[in-house]
Amino acid sequence: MVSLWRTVRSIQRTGLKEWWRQMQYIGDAKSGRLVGTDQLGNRYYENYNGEEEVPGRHRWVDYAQHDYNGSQVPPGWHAWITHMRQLPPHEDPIVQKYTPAWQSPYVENLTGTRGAYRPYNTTKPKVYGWEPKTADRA
Amino acid sequence: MQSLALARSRVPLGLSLRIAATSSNLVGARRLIHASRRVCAQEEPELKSQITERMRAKKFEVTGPARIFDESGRELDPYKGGPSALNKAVHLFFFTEIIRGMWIVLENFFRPPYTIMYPFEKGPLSPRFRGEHALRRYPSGEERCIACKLCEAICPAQAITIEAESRLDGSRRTTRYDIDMTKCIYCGFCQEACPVDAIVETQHHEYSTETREELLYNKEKLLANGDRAEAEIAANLHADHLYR
Amino acid sequence: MLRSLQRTAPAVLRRRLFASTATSRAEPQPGADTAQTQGAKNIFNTHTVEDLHGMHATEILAETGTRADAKMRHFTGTPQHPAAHGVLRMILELNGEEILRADPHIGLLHRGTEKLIEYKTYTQALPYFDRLDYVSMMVNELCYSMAVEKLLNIDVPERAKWIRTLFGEITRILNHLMAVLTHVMDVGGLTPFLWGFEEREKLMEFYERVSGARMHAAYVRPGGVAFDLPHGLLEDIFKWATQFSSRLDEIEEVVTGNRIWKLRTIGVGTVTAKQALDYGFTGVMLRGSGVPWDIRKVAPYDKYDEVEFDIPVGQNGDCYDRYMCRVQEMRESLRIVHQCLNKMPTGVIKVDDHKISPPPRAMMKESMESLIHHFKLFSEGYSVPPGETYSAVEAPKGEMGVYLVSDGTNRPYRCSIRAPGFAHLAGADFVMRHHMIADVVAIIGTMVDR
Repeated sequence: MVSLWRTVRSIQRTGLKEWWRQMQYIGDAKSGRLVGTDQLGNRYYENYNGEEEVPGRHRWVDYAQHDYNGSQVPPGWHAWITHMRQLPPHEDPIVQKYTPAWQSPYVENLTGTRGAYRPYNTTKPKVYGWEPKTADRA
Repeated sequence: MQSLALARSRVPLGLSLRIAATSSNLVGARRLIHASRRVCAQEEPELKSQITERMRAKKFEVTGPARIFDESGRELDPYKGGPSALNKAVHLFFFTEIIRGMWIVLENFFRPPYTIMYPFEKGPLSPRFRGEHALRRYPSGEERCIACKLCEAICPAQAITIEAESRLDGSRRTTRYDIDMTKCIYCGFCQEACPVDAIVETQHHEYSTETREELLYNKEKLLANGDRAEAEIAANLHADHLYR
Repeated sequence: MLRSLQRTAPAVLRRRLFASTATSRAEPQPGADTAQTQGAKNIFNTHTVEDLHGMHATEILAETGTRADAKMRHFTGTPQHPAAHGVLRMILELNGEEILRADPHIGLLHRGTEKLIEYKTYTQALPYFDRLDYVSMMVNELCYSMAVEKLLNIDVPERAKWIRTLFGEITRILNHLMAVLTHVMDVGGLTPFLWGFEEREKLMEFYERVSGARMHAAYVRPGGVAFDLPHGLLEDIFKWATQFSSRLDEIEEVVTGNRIWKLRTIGVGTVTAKQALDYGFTGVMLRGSGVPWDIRKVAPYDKYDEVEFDIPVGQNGDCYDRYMCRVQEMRESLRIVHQCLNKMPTGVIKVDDHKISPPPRAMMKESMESLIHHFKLFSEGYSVPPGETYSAVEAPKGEMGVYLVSDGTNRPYRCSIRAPGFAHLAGADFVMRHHMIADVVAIIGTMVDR
């Protein structure tokens, strides 16, 4: 019973409170190294012990918001959590090198809210309505 | 059929009436019973249901392999060296193959689950992944796209619309860069076509929307996508630059 | 039995019943009585649409029988039954549970691909092939690419050929896993399906790593493949391939010997070799009936003449034999994958004629000539010499063919696609006749998967 020992070990490491929180969200007792926290307050963990986590479940995120969704992971951490980059963004020299000064903060997918994107025209209109111009009467 | 016939003789009036009509007038009777093949089978043997034949064939003919003869015409027994009747009976009555199968299922029950708990854990992606589009800028903050319209030309789904004008400083830039993400087929030809690496398909794929119009991206939206993810786009391009 | 009953019924009631039904008849045909006694064709003993041929419209349209009769024989549409895999609408004509006639309505996936391709350049037409049979993507691309290469009269570099062979076989395993395990699921065994999808997930990750998309890869291009294999991919494929055969053993252990599975498939949907040839069946539908025909063997393309593999052939042509063929083909594919991994050469992955394949990006940014080639390729595309060709590959479902006519411009004049499932569906009627409804899912599962 791999899972039972794993659960017991995870509870030992994280404590009952954290375990309870995990059961409310991930639904599984996991323990690992805290790799970092992003600007939204999400915490990222990893555990490369093959005894405890199967491949694909090595890295995970603990969302800060109760109303979580997958798009709350900013791009840098998304690259890390999907195993695109080996190192987290604050340790990765290449990501650090390519981060421009004008990089804007990440916004989650706001569909269904008032902040949702609505398309608009970016060109000047090519057809104008006639606006009558009259000279002032003397 | 025999037991059915017995049952039939005792069925309530309505049914026996219908059948009764057959003997008096054939036209009316046929009209009444035309739908049931079982009834017709009495009169037209070639229309008889083939289910019973099939069942019979299955039991006695089809399950066995075809008869094989050697050159001299003797029949080769395909069962020679096969399992004995006792063997087969043991398998039949002790459910051996079911138990073996269920044992595998039981083994899998005790293996660690491989389910990836999606929003918390995500499946692996590669730097080549083709997701949501973004327009990039140069490190100076100047937008890359020069409105060469190669992406518009190559797009198989014709999802890209570009309009261009000269800016006040004389450089050629787009005024409209619309991608209809509902048309896009994510083939990646636009990013292959782009000579200045302006349009890219990012790793981001969690942009599902509630309305269709939110997927009609314009230039500002694409640039905003690029502004947020510039470091990761550049890192992905760097990771894959040897293969491009 | 019936006659004896009929004789017992009182004559008065008989007459009353006949009077009531006679009014519902639209127009009694003169001489209909005599025709029926002679056993000629009439509406009352027709069971299939073919039986109606040569009948007068008034006979066909005449109101017949009572409501109770109408219930006994009816048309059943299964437009979105889960076992129809979403792409097939099947109209069944039934007698109770027995199928008298099956009428597959193809076209739920019709997207006008052939016509669209006539208005696309040769490059742009490629992604359409991913979407034809969306469980064997790279094989479809390969078929199209080979047709274009034949017209262009170019030869593909060695490494590209090996990559194509490797991913062709990975695609075959992807497809057969889907076909076999959804078949098992339709018949009732859900568990192996989930195991198979774990393996499919790994294979689609390989797809994603090499092309950037998990399914619609757009990877095999005319003149080679789009990108080289990323570093470490072959090692991971090797690791996957070493464990896959034991996964296959597990699946077989559960399914192959299972008496329920055998009862549901043995003797169901039997296709004789002659029928299979007459209807133009290919792939497993043909091999399951005992005809050893595989385009990889009879007309080897890419590197199939340099790898060693066998062609599994069935004997009875029923669903069980086809299942066994598919499972065995997965093992053969695994053999080919291993050989590809061992024999994968180094070198270029597409032709270096930059009039056909775009130059690498580094070159495009440095040399003016390459930039011009790049612009020409991505705007106008390349012109293909006039001619026509038919190229066929052994797609997992059968022979996938592309007939391509070029008129010398940058767009195909005509592109006709021979999809394997199309011919198989044409045989749906004769295969399904006089089976039970429950057998339909077993037959569909083995006959058409997409």
